[in-house]
Amino acid sequence: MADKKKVLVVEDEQALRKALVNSLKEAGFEVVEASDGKLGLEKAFKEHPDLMLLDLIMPKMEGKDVVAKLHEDSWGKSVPIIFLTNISDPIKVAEINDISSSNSTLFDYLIKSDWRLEEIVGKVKEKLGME
Amino acid sequence: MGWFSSEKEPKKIQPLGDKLSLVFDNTNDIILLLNSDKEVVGANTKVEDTFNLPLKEIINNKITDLPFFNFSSTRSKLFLESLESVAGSRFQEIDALDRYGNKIILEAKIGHKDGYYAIIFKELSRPSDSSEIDLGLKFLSEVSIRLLELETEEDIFQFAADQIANLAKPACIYVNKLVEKGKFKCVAYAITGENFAKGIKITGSPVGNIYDASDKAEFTVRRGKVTKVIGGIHELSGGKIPKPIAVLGEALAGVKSVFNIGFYWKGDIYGNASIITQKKSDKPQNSGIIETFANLVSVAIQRKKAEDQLVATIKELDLEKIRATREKDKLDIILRSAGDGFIVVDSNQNIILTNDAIVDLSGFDNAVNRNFGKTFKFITEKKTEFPDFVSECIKTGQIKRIVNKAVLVTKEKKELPVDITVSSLKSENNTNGCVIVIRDATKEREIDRTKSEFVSLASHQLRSPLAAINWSIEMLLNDKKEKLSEKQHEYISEVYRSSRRMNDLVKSLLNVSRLELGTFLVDPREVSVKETVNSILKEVEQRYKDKEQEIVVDVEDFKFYSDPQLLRMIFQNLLTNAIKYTRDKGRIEIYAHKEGDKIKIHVADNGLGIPKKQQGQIFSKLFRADNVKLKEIEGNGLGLYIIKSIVDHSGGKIWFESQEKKGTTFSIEYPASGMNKKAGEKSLN
Repeated sequence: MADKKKVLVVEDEQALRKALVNSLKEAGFEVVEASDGKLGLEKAFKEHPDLMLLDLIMPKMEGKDVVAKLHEDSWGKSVPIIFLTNISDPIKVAEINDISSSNSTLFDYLIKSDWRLEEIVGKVKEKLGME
Repeated sequence: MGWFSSEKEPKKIQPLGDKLSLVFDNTNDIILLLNSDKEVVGANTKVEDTFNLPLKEIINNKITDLPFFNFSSTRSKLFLESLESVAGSRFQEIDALDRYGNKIILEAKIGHKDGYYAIIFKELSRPSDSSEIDLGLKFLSEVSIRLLELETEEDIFQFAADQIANLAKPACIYVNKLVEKGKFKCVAYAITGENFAKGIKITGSPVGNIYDASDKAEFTVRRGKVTKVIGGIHELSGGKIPKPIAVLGEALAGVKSVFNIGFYWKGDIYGNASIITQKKSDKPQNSGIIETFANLVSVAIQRKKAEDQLVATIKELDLEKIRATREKDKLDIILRSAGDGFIVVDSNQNIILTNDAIVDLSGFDNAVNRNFGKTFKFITEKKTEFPDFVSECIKTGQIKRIVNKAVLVTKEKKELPVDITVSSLKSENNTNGCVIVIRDATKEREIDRTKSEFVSLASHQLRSPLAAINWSIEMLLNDKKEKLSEKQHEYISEVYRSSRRMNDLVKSLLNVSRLELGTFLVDPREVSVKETVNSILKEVEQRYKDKEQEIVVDVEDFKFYSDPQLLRMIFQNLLTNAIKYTRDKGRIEIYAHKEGDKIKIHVADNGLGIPKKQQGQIFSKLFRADNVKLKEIEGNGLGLYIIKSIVDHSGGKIWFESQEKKGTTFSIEYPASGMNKKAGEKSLN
């Protein structure tokens, strides 16, 4: 399935990860998942997904540190990322604002509880230029 | 002239030799030598000096023929008749007249030998003049002291009445005080003399009656009562006779004279005294003393008046002083005990006044006379330089509260979070300086931080499970392999709706808390209003389509320098409200245009409208109008509160017009320049 787009879901909360993974799979994506930042980074380098859904607050390695590591890599610099957040920590807000405004075509973020799954799938498709 | 002796009987008595005559002529006593026929046979020159009569007119005359002895008086008669019997003794108080016709009193010492009498007269006093003067001096010196001791004007007048009554005894005295020009009020009354007052009982008081002043009065007395008074101070303005005067009739039956004496001093009149006597004469007894006394009384009254005025002035001054002191004390206490620091500066920012709290807060203990800006340093929470609010206040004259922003750098370079209130000191239209109140806000900031952290944490903790619930339900509802039964679908849909409402509530509460903490940020950039409106319309498409509502969009394609998130919230809120509170098949209009230097936004509907009574509360937190509550339309009462806060804090205006059952139009206006940037910790979402 060479033309199937590969999405990496990095989310520590199992219920959320499962819902995202299922929805994306149903929408026809190839989905790779990781339950913390460190694993997520490993899988990113290994699988080279077309897009990442990246939670910000996670054990072992936080979302922004994952981005920083990715940016050390030439492939990592170009992967589109949608940050998943609950946007409550002011420092995180500032970070997201910094990252997303630095390259608005590459980065995006969404507040998990405000978004429906189908909207997220839509956003992923939009980001990948599928719609 | 020398001692002279009669030549008639030179043999009987040895003529006085020159030596003796030298002695006799130089004594102060008058010496007469009488023979048994009481003829003067010898005298010293003192007789000539005293009586101004040449000795030759004295010698050989009978003593009874001498013009200077007033032998009409009982005492003098007695003296002559008893010359023999009184010989060898002293005889006092013989009346005589001196060379000026003045009455003098003599004391006589009589010697008797061989049918001759030697009388040595010693001049005791001059009763008519000197005794009156002595009495007067004694009296005046006494009363002048008493007058000074009296406490009130009324006391002085009564004292005057008593004293004049004594001086003019027997007499009846009325003392009248000048109350206004030409009007006198009788303030004191006194009566002396047994005859005068015999059998009289004074039943009334003249005090309180007002009389006219003039010089003379005539009394008509019938059967012991005064029946008529003509003229004088006793004539009543109303024609009635005052009771005391009427009752005095019996005593006054014998009234012969009424004297009026004024209490004048240096052109000022203070009152007068009427002296009523039974003697027919031009002057009352002791009139000289009375006149002088009246002057003293006038001086005393004048003095009393001046004193009273002075006392009143001093009292008033004291009162003012006390008041001023009290005000100052109050201010001092307030300033000193206030936990807030006070600094008063002039228009050049020179410090005029501080209180103890400022020392505690800042560590600067003698800031007075220093420059405010050079002494007190403020920074922002982010440690950047704080704007010069004092200059601004002096310039604008407006009161400004700076909350949650400033940090004071103390003398020890410690950073203390403070809230500041700065208000101008105005006189007329000028700002003379300002008062800066600085409050230690450490606790408030701590509480704010804790509250903010709690809200963040709570929202985060709530949102994760909410997202899990929502997404799980979405999967359940969309599962194509295992379809839910119709009933299950219905229930699960209800759970889903509630869960989404919960999510909206969490979002709103979070926004409210950020608005209230002032920590939300306004981060404006160029935003296409048309795109924003279209995107929101897409979001809410299902809702208005369900209600078959007509949406009319009149939005100009222009860039609005605004915070995209906030602008979204504004439209989202107004639009969802319009949809919610408008009936099926209703009409909603969205208008957004740049008009001149204004950006105007209207969202109008022909829905339920807001009850007139409740229109004032529509922007209040958690407020929901009765008509929408009755219809069980969902809502948390936070939306408009949030929108108003956003618009207010970003430099816009929001208002509405509404009529129940006709509809509502919300209007928002911003300057064409767009929203004001506002630094904050968190964006709203």
